[in-house]
Amino acid sequence: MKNIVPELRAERGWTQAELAKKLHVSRQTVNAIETGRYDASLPLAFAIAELFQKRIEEIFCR
Amino acid sequence: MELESRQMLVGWLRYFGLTLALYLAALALSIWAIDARIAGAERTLLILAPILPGMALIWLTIRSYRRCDEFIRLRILQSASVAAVVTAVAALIYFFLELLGLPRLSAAWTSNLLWMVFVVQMVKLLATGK
Repeated sequence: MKNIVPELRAERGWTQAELAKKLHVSRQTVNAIETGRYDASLPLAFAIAELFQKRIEEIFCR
Repeated sequence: MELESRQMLVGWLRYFGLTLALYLAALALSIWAIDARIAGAERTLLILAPILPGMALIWLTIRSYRRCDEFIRLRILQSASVAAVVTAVAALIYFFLELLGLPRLSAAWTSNLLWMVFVVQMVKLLATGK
């Protein structure tokens, strides 16, 4: 699943580690989501959407 | 590895290392007690000594697993599955090689192989995404 997490993170000037801390996950998880190696669970996708103040479908797409 | 992960790893290693040392000490005592000239409740207690630190090791492992996030949990499960399959197939292959004349190995090698495959995958996971 494609996503625009790297772009949203870059807009805010956060590192992967900073984003991971805000989402209460490991940096490896953020990296795996950004590179498309892992699709976030629904609760994590909601947390990401809430953090970036966007709808889930605006961040994640097929 | 970032600071937070490193601190978590060091913290885990400290607890796990201490409990493992306790377990090994109790195990040594237990093995010694089997042949030692002691009897009664003392002997029973000494022989059963590794049970408590052993349980503590299991509890620490489960607690560490539960503290991991969803992606790390998935990777741990995948690594454990791969390690189990690799070990099972390697053990089966070596069984046939033993029939062909290769030396008999201790069963401890299967445990060593299992941990080696698992640890290699975990190290690979920690090393990815720099």
